[in-house]
Amino acid sequence: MTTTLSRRGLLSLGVGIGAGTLLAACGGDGDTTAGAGSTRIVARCWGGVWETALRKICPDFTARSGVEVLNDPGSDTVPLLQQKPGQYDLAWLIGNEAARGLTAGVLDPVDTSRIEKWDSLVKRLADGQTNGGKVSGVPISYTASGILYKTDKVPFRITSWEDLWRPELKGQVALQNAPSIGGLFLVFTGARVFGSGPTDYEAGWKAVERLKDNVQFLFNTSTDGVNKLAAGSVAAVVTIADQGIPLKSRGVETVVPAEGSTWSVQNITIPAAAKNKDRVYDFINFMLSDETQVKWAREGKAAPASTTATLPSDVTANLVETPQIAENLWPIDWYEFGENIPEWTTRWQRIFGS
Amino acid sequence: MTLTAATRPEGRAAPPGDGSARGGWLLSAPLLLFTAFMFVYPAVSVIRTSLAESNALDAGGFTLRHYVDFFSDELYVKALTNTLSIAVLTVLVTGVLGLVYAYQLTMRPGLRQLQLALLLTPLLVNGVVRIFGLQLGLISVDDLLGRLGLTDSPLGLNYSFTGIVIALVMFQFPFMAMAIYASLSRLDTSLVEAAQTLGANRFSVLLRVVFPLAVPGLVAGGVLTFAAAAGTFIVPAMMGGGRVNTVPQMIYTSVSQSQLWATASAFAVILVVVLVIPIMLGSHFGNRSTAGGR
Amino acid sequence: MAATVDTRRRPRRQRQKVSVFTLMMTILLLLPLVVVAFASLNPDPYLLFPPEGFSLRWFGDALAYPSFRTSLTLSLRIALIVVVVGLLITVPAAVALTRGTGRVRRTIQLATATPLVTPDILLALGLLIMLSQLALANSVLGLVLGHVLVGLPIAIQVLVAGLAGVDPNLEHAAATLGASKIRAFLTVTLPSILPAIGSAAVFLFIFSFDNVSISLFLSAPGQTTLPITLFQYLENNADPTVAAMSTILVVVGIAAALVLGRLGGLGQLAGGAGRRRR
Repeated sequence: MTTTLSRRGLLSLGVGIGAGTLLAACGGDGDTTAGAGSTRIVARCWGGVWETALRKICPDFTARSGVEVLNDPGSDTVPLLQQKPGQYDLAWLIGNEAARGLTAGVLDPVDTSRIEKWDSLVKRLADGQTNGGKVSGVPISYTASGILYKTDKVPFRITSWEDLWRPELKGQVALQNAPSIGGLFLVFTGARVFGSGPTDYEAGWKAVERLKDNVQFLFNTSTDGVNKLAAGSVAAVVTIADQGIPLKSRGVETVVPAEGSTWSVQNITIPAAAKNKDRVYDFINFMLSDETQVKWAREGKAAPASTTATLPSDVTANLVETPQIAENLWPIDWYEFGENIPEWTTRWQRIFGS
Repeated sequence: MTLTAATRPEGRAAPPGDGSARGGWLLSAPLLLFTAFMFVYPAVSVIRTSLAESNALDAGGFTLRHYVDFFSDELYVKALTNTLSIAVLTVLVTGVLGLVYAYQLTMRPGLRQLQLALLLTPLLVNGVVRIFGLQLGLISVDDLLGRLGLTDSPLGLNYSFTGIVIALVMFQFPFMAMAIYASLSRLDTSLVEAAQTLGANRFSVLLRVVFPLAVPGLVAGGVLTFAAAAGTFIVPAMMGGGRVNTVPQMIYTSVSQSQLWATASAFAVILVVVLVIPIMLGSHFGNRSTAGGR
Repeated sequence: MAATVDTRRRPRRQRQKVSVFTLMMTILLLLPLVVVAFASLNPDPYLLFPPEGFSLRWFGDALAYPSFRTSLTLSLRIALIVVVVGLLITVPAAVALTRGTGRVRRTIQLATATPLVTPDILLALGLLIMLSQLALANSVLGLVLGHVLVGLPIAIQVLVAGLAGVDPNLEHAAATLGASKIRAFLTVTLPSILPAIGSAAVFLFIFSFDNVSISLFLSAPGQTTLPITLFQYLENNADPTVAAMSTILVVVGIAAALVLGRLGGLGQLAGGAGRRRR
């Protein structure tokens, strides 16, 4: 009828509650807000390989300047900056996010006179962040987009963007889903390859519609695409070209077409409500120093933004971005692109979604 | 002997209205206060944002424009129908499977501890990782079938509507099964067996005895499954491969890259309103079941 | 009559009947985990199944990754607090729901239905706005409150289902025999619903431990919960470290569940057939 409270039951209940309250009591709330002028800056960065790279590099900065860097990994940073102003002293943002952040007022324009290496950064990168004389972020590194494909599944050599549209690749291509930029880049590509010029976006969209048959799936996390490529369920993936290098031994070729390519840039930006802006400038200069640029390229697997850094061969072996390729990168107006993304995302969803 | 005697007589809940009203309010005060504080206030700010003039963060004003935009665009309406169909399908499949599972486990309780432990274990693992596991598994299955020559093209379960439902059933099944199992705990299996050996039709035993007993659990599990399946972003995003649009995905994209706060809020309010009706109906129906004593 | 046979003397064979269907379902549901576990053994830094070799390096990496350790402890701490707070709120409310007047019942139903129905992401957003204004947005307290909110509906459902099986006349009987109302509740009703409380506790724990959306918005730098850490790692890293971490969690989870089984009986947890005996 009624279950009696067995001794065992009572014991386990007691253990549970006891453990709970004990653990709750032990850990206090860490107060993570850093006061101004303190010896710590809070940085928002991306996770995975980026966070690991920063973990290896930041101790050097701390040793030199005495300032600790607390890295908080995650994505979707701009909405976070809007909602929690003052939480971060610096934010790593890609090109269009930085542009958007500046337009929305969550970022401070960068005082380039305080950036030692500003004039020796790759011009395309620096120009891309500048709009109306204001600079939204400082490029630290960049990555070119490319086509990664399995040579045993594709009966020809891919050399040009146009090859993606070939009927042999029906249902065998993976792209990054909007609103991330990897897939939307194909509008630019379509405009240049099939249209009358870089701004012929209508031609670009028509090209994307024609590509639909070849697309097997759209991924949100870039590693999803690469994993499926390694698993062999898809033949070609459009993503960051550097991701293909480690897959060479698995029969994957990486191509950055000679006619040029789109690219992404990793900037350090300064939130308007940041508390330790001076320390952030120190950090930026540290990241742009030749020594750190080499380390960053090695650990983060991205090409350095500073042209004065010379990379040893073990690093260049893992990077696709040769000076030749850097020359061929298409100019991208991050501000305009950023403005277009909401509308383009809806159009993208109309094409691919059902 | 009537078939309803298969439940123990003490399985009778209080008729409503029992107990003092003041005691009821007092007992429920913590919950109501908590919900008022933690939910009503945020909900109100979301609704307010959805009526704002522009998509900027602290915009004010009053307009129903975002709602109109939603319903006048085929893309969004389709996303809503997708969301609802996925949710309904998931509830149906999970409900049927959960019912059979719970009934079988009640009638044949061997290895019960182990099975329940294993049922709950996947819930400890991150959803993204579980989906990866499912996708890799499906790829291997496709591979195997192809090699055995049984099919000549992949099943296409990855990146499809069906794939989304399969993944959601996988996620929600433990909750549904546990909820129904808890309901069926009042079933006196010895009497069911006795009835069957005495010649009562197996099917009518199931229908007249087991099923009514399982209803509260079915409703509880069903409500939870429906809400979870309709509100999830990650499962359609990964299993749909960008091919199936759902409202949570729309909400996510309008916030993450474009920071369209008003639009996102409006979408969310619409989703909540559309979901709340079947859920309230379901809960109402379910509670009437438990409240009516036998 | 069959109804009065002492069930303890039933032939052992019957008590051990195992359902093939349930076994198969359980195994089927475990398959993705098995795939992940095997994928964690892959020597190359990609998630592959079947694995191409055997390597335990990812387990080492997972355990050595500082964020995994700190976020695991944080998640556990929060989950345990959530269980205690959640139960304190829901148990009385569940009693009110089953025994109270119509108005009380309807209000509670509404209160629990609405968080259930709201998409996590907007719940989190609203919470963020509100808690920011109270300067609680970055604290463990904010996370706990958020997690309790998402776990409330299921906990109430389970408790109500458990209470539905308890005859309030027993409490009345105890009261007429001289026990105070509270004492009657504690000694008569509470032990009967312990399995349901246990279930509610398990669900509260799981909903907190595995919660992503609320934690995403309410976490502070350096204070992320485990699911967030895993998710962010996965976004930029294709390697099996996350698979290894998940496998570790699974093994620990199974071990904990089995220990729980020894101590209290998981069948009891679900209010299962173990209560059949009079």
